[in-house]
Amino acid sequence: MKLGIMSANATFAVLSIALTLAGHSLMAFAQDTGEPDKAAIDKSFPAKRPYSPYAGRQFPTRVYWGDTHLHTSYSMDAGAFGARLGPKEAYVFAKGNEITASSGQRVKLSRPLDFLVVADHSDGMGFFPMLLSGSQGILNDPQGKKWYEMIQSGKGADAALDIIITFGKGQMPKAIFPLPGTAPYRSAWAETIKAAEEANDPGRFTAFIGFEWTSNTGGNNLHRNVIFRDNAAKASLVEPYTTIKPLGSDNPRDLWRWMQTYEEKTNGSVLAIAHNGNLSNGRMFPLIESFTGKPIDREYAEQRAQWERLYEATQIKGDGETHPFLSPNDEFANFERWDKGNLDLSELKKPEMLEFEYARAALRNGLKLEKELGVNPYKFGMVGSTDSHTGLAAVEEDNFFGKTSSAEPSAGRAEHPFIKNPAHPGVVVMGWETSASGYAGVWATDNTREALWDAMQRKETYATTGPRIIVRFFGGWDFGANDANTRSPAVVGYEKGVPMGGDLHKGPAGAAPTFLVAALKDPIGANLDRIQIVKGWLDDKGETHEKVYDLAWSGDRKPDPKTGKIPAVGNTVDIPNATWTNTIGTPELIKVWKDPAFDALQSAFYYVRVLEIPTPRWTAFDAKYFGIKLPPEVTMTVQERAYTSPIWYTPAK
Amino acid sequence: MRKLIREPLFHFLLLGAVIFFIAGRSRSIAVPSGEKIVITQSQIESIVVGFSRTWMRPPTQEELQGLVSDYVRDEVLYREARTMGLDQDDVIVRRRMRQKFEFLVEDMTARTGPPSDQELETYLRQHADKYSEEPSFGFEQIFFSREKRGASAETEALAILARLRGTSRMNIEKLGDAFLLPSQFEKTSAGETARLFGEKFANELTRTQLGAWAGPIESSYGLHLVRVNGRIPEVAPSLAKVRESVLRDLLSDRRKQELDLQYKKLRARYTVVVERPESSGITEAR
Repeated sequence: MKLGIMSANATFAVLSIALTLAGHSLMAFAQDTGEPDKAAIDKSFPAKRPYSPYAGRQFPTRVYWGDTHLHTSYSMDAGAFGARLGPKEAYVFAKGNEITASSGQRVKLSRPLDFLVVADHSDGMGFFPMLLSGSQGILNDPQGKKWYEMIQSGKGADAALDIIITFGKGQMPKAIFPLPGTAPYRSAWAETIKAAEEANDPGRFTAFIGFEWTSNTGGNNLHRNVIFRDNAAKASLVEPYTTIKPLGSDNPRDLWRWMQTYEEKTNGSVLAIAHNGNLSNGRMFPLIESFTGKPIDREYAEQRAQWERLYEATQIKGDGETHPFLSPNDEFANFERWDKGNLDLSELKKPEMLEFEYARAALRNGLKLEKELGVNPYKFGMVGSTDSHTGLAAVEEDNFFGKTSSAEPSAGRAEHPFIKNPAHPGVVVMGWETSASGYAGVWATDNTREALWDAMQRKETYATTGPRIIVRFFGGWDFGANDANTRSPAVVGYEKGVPMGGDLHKGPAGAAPTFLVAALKDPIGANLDRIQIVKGWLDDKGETHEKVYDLAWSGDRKPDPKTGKIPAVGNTVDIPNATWTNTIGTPELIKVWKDPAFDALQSAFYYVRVLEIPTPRWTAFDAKYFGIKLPPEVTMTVQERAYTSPIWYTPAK
Repeated sequence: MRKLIREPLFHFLLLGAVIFFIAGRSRSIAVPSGEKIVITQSQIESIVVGFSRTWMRPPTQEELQGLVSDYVRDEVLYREARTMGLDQDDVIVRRRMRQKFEFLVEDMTARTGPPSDQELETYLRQHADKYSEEPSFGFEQIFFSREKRGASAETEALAILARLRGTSRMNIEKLGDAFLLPSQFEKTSAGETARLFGEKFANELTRTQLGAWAGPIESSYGLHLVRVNGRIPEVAPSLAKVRESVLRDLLSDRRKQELDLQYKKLRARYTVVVERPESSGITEAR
């Protein structure tokens, strides 16, 4: 555990004295006013909302768009694959400015983002900028000198592979590898913080301080992004937690302990977001901890629920909502699927691993564990993010700048292998399988670190695969059909219910939960196909189940009499020209829905999935632009979507 | 035999034979034996400086010997390669040469010194719209859904507009259709309005009369009645506020101009003939 606390202790002493004094005077005040009188206090709180509908509104009226997971040249692997843009450039780009990508191409977002977290790998942070500088320290080390010369002589890709393999084997030369506590490491973290501080513009753009803790033992992805609510003053008191022993650890329990220590020592706040369970080979949402081989216990459940408030359900390395094997009745489950193996394909996928990798299955197992342990470890909200390693949060289908700098737009990128491993020569993840996804939508009261972070902490967030679809989701006991006609769904939503990420407890006797759901298309994007609610529940026998309900859809489609499902919306995509038309679908959908199969004794979760009409996938834009023909197995259309954080129902004990 | 094939020396010899064969065929090797390579004192000095820059110390005698031998090796192979024409039609060499040339020109521009405040001011004035802060509005909107109202959406919106204009007291939150964006917007920039409602909608807001209900105007979602309550026009910023970006852009413009100027001068020395079928329409851009 490395917490480089400097003068925090002194600050602490002063702070606690101040707090103690404040406490004394508060008590004195209370005694002076005598016993509180309930009736008198009631009067000072209005029983009804003020006449003016605008007065006293504290709830979020705007959704803010951002990426919680972007790598820059400071990440070792990103630098190896040619990323030359650092955190500073990443923020400049996210703010909507045109810049030059590492591949030399000009690039700009269709619209600025509202916030960004630069989350570079904590292990070896800043290694590449240091290696490229060819400093004395690098050249004094035989390995460092070799890599430096390889890059200088145009063999950057070979150097990159060599570096990644060496790192994977844990054989990075100590002398040149930036470890916490060394000067190069401190300077990389200081630069990261400085870039965020300079880019942060409260009210207009939020630049979070953060890092990725990249636990990847055996190629099994257990990565977490850590996001600070705080500014430089606190974040500078620590250095990011790493995975290499003895300073770091690859066990998430140790990360949580580090987070706890940070909060205790600095009075600051951090949260973590896990991602790519699909590449963890059954380890992301365990019932049995892979580190001990024992069933997870209450402490694990408590810690995980406390620190891992959100899950990154979709990103470039595939979609993580659910899998056809787990959700055979969900016709939209087979989406941007990555299920060949773990992150380096050193171990192939077995079907029994899937249950412990996908968000929906984890939400279900969470209900089960809650019953056993008293705490639900997998009670997370949803976000999407890019995990791009280019310094560019660019995942629009027609503006996709790829996973790595070597996968920035080029005629060959789709057919270039993305992951292969000599251990399994027949299995390859191809470049075209990378998914132009995703972003995080956050319902916050303001565009500041504090407001956005607080919204993440209460899980009032949702994931999209790229488009900026606006989604509202409220749960309560007495939403009526008429509430779908109210002019401002949010007003009635917050009045009568809880927003996405919230909890429902005991309702009126005999009542079933009701939900108000509304979606609005991306103003420059495709129309919407439908909104759905995904329900998961735990039955009396301790088994979990799931069901997908179609709530509202475009046009006058009727449910199929056999399956009860709404037929597909159709398809207007012209693949050769990479275009589509909004002649099908609808710009907006709103609906009040009551759970038709509610059992007050069974715990349950509900989340919303919104689907767009089919549009051209990035591969179609590539084929058109470069005038190439891609093999028939390449997916050329995509039905983009949004996933909200769930609302949970927990029966009274 | 297998073992031999894997042997690097074998590869090397094979490659050598191929090169020799090709070179021999195209023109017999043209460097006459006995050509001189002279390492001047200043070249040695520059080698020493280069070494010292990375290693923070001068090379030892032994190291210097090695460096000089390496330089000679470079020189021999470089001359031979050039004689064989290996630099011809090589994209990387051509690109590098062009780049070096452009660096040279850029270097020359840099030597003219940093621009004065006066020059920066002039540049800022000439490109005012690039740096100005966007216009912004405060407005209210009422949404009318085409999905819900179909073809009558527009007439129904117009009917409500007439009522709004007739009376000052109506709760706009009860009018129109359900909509996920707020009905009231405080100071919101044109760009942000465009991001929320679409370009067309934002453009309309710059035109409508202040303080009066107007519309219906079209957004990405449907129709809206709008009332713009305040409008802040574009603000031209002071140099102090945008100095850094102005300086960066001015220098980049200067470099570009200088490059173009130099190119034109050089280009004038050539006659270019593009051999092509008449129909292809290729001409040389000048």
